[in-house]
Amino acid sequence: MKERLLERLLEVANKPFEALKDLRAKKKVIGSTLADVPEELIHAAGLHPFLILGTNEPIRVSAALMPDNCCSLARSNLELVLAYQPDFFDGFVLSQVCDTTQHLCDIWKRRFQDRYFENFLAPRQVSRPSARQWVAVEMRRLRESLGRYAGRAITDDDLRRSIRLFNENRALLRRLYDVKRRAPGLFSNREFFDVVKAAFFMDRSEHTELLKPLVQWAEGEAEKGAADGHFPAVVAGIVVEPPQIYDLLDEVGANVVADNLPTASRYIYYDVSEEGDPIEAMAERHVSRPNFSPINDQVERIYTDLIELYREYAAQAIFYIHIKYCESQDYDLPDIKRKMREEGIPMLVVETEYQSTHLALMKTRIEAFCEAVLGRV
Amino acid sequence: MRAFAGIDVGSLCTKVVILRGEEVLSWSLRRTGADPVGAARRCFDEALARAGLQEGELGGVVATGYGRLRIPFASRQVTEITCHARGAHFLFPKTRTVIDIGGQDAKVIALDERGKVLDFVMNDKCAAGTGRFLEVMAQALEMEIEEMASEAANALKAVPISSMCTVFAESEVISLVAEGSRRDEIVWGLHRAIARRILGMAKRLPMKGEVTFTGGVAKNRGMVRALRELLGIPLNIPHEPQIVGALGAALLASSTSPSVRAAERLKI
Repeated sequence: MKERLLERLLEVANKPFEALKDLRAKKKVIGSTLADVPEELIHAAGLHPFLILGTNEPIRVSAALMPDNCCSLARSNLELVLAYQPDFFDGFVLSQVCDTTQHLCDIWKRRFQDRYFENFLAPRQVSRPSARQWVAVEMRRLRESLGRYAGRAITDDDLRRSIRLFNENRALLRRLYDVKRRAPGLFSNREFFDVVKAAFFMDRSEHTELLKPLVQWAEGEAEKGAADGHFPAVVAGIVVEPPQIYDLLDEVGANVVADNLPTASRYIYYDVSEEGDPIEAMAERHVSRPNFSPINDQVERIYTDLIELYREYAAQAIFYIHIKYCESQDYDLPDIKRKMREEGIPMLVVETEYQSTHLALMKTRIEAFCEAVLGRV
Repeated sequence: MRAFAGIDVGSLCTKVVILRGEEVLSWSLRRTGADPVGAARRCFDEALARAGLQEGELGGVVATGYGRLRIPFASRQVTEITCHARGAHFLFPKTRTVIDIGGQDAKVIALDERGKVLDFVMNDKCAAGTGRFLEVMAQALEMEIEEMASEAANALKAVPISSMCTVFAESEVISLVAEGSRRDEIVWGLHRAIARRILGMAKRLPMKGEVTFTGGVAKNRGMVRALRELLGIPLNIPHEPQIVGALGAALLASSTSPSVRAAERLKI
């Protein structure tokens, strides 16, 4: 039963370009990069939002455009669209959240002069009073731009319909996460986070329709899935790539009960209000979510939020997934490590790099951490 | 009392230790080569023969090292970090830091008074700071490793080596040779460069208590000298530093946690 319910979702999560090859025949596809591009706006314009999450295929082109010591997610995003999927996207909305993504946008724009291109200028100091207003202005600008590209203005009703759909989708993912927490024997970490990942690629209505029976089945089976031998863990960072990292966590018996990933909880736990002006509601959501590394005001929140998650979910360990050369994470990591040491919270930093992650070595690190710190020998 | 075995399938060498209580009955060491399972089998059979035991007489076998998951006759797998810590603590109970330099990786492990790992750092992404680095340099200088170690141990001066990338360091060494630098000074400079890298790793952990140096590179007198000088403290060097991981695995197999120093009783 589970296999049948998951089949299409896992197919899309793991081979999105093959599973969705007919996408462009139905809608224009707008690629976006992390983080926080308002997908509802793209959807409301009748376009298909598709989150670009890099590639682990060898670098052939982007090495000439970006140095080796820049964030491998940014570099492999560029590689994906230049070398491997040059015809998949009709246009792009790229988020500027750090210095690398800022420069990436410049390169991208010059490379794709024949496509629709917009930046989403996300504020990095979201607690300032002006941030909310900035986001609202930026979203209105994007709304106009997308409307011009789509050949029709995005009305408030269009936007509200999209917001409702995306909220419904997120609510279903939250219910599934809740089951996974209680019943680690029912879903592996990999399966659950693949289901979330599929949402970033496929038509959101289809994803929602696939989720409904899955959530219903999971809630019905939850009592049977409370398997022994798991320990609750928090995953922190920006992306968990390659996804085999989740397999490694599954192998050591970690049950991810909470995370702060923009590709998981930071996305699914915060809805847009369906009341009032939809742009203002989206701006409110944007500034009210927890921090992640590229947001650099209230610097202490990057670890206080994490400690709170760890305690709230009674976790036994934190796995911090660090993208090598991510300048934002590099900036935060010493503080996070120090604070976790002070608090006596076991945390393993798992360094990843697109193209060169060596899973066998990573497995040794994760196992050694579990043996040493958690006493799971 | 039943005997137990530990198998450490490393990138360069496979090691087996057979233990009964606190007594090492036998050990064996072979090149791993391209067939880690075959090498482990041969090494295991050799150690069993030396101990005068049959496989069925063993109470358990723990495999460690990068090939640990592929050993069909192991009853359990434990990472080399835990095993090196356990082995080093068994030999030198006051050990609180283990520096392990193997063929293709290097690690620094912090442990508590019971030999439990508190934290660790690893260099497993490049050859810099590993046995392989020294092998490539020995090749470039047309020397045997043993000869290089001896020259490093006795050199009076070091030529500074600035590159730690194995490829660039090799070019640097070739340039130094071409410039007429003394070979022993180059070699000593290379050993000090590795030691500096290890020191950088070690500083990420709280260095307390005694430091034990394990792994094949601990047999290199030049490396021991370089680490001692840069750390500024004495190092415990096991008589057979290469088999410490296998010893730890055997200890874990027997689930013993000896509280007395037993190194003197070990025939290793």
